[in-house]
Amino acid sequence: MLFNSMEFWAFFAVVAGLYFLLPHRLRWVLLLVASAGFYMRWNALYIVVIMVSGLIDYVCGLVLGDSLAAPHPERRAGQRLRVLAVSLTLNLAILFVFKYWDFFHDSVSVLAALGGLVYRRPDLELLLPVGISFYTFQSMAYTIDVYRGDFPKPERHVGMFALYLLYFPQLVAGPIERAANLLHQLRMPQTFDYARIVSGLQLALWGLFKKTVVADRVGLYVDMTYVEPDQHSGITLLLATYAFAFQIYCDFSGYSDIAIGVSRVLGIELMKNFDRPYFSTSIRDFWRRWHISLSTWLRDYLYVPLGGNRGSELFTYRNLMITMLLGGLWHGASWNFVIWGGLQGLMLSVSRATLDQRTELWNRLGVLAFVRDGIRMVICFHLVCLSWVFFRAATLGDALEILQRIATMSGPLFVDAVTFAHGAVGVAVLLCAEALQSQVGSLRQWLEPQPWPVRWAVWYALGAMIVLMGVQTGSQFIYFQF
Amino acid sequence: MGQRELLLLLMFLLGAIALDQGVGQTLQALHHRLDGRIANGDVKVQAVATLPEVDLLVFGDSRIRGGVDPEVVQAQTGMATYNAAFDGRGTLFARGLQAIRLARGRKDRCYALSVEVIDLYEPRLLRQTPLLPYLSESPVILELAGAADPWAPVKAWSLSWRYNSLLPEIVRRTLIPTRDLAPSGFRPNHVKWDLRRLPPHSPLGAFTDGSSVPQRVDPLAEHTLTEFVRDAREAGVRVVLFTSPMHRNQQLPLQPGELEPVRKLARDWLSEFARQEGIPYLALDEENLPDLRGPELYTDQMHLNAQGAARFSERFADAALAACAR
Repeated sequence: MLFNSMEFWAFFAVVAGLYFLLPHRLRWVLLLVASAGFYMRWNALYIVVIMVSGLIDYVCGLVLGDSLAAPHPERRAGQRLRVLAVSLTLNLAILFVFKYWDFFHDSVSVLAALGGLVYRRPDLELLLPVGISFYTFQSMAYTIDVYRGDFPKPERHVGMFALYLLYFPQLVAGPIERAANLLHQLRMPQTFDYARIVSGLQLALWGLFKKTVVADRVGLYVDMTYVEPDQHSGITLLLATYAFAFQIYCDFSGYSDIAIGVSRVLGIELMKNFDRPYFSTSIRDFWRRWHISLSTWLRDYLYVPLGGNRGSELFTYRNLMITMLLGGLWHGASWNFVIWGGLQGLMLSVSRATLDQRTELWNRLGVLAFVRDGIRMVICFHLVCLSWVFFRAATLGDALEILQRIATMSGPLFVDAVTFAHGAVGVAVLLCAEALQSQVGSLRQWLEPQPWPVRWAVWYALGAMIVLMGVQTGSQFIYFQF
Repeated sequence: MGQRELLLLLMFLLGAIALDQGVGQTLQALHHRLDGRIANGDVKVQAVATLPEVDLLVFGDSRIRGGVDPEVVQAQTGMATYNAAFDGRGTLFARGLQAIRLARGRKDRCYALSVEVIDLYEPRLLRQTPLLPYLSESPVILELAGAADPWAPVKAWSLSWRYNSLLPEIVRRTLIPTRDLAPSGFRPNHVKWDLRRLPPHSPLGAFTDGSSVPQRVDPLAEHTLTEFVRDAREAGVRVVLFTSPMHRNQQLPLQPGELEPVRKLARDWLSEFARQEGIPYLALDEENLPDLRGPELYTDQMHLNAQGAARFSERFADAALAACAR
């Protein structure tokens, strides 16, 4: 059930209607049943994987919580660490089996072949459960938070804990929530707040615009070109790479907006996941704005425990590289994603290493602040696009071919006029809205005091664009595969 | 929710409905005013819908749009011919076009329908949107839209939705005088690919079910062809099925050596289908037309260029004349 399908909106209308009709004490049951049904529309059997993953962390959380509450918890440090290790090992083992099995064995097979050996992959023939990386990370974050004492009172209600993992708006593609933010909201009684519901639906409409009008439309062009890069010119592939930058942003942030919007209707506020990433002036800035729930997860549960920047510069670069390489691998079981993560790590390290020199250079040049920021945005956007080539290309060979062709810029430009016209309008509207956002903050709050004809015209225009220009074939969200 | 909010919500919804109807009506008016001689693009449906009755109406995809020149056919056979082929659309789309013409009472003498391998095994469900403006003219259009999107009957309540994806083309054609007019519907292919650079096979993989040879003809494809023939027969229009030549098949992502068995399978099935329906099937492939084998006749692996189209049109004309006369 995709957020951009009529089926989902019919489902959501029923769930939201029942939610406000039912007494508070029964609402969690409704949400749990609805969430399970939502997930099982993809693959009914794979709900077992979430349940196993959840049960591990539920039990580990209880043990950790009890040991923390017991007298002299410091004496139980070893036991606590063992419980945490059990939870992390089992969660990562599940992730490995379902997501990285083939990748690992294929890589071993390649290595064996280099050494003149034959290694056959044990074929498990498992499908990748939708959203496995998201809910596994969310589940692991819970146990780590309990272990650290950041979430000292673990959830004892097994149904509520199941809902924490299964909550349908963010189940399959995030935002990756923290227990401290989500669990207490699930328990809170919610009233029918007209203003909040309207605000949630408006955000969902904006997400739907991003997905159907921008992402899916420019995605048609990206698919046409990236599928056979050796048949396209450098200029075409460059344009397709720009298009992919907007496709992946609007696909994922569109999903996040719909998730946050529908959850807001139910009175549960999810964390912000994107903050106009293509307005970033550096790679560091980009990672503060892109997939915030993952970047903060990686920061809190990987980068900081590795030592973060609490050592020599070299030590910090090592930590950055490890974090981003694993962050890349989180996205998918392919060397392309590892290279993508490695590039991000490298760019973050270089950005950090050259920060002083770059600041001095800009000061010496004495250019106006907005010109400087504009140039930095363009550079940052292109660096990100460079890494997107590896993210999108089907194989490493394709990625290198694309970069080689872009470097030579040879051949004619191939453009599908209708797709391009639709996509250009969508991207222009998006950029104008985000530029305005950078000036006024929240667009919805900015619209609030405007006369009603202005407000309504904006939402009507957005709706009309979705109806007239949106791709309505219900295509998958890219991040579902992760 | 208070009374004021309820009133506002009601007004907003009424406004949305009014806007939808207004935009839809405007686009409908603009669409109907477009030049009927447009040869390319999605708004060509309007040209097909308004075309007077002809002797031979040719349906197919881009291989036929740039492969059959009605002027050549007409000069050779005397049959008034129109090329109603659309890029990227196959038999499903042809069924929609047929439904619109029959609903308007336009009974042509003969239909020549090109059937591609992909149309038999993995019919092109998507991209039926150019037919949506004619939703009210025939239930077939909604049936076709519903095959791709089960929610199409609900979406069809929106008048604007029927113009989904057509807006830029309608606006462009309305504002800018159309240059690529072609009264016959034919538009030759000009794109030149370097054939030596093309890979031996597409990297897309085999059929979506994982097999390299399709197991069976898609039920929707068979149903569509059967209905196409039935409706034509009831209207007194003759039907000719045909397949056309290619330099090398790129349309189905097959490994080298896997192509011919699939094409043969498709030809055999079409032949048997035509026999059962009592209609002619013309296997106008390069196998039967040796003079259409050279790469100099193609712009790429599957599209004839202008020279190839002229030659193919001659062969097609002879065969079509005989078949339509049967």
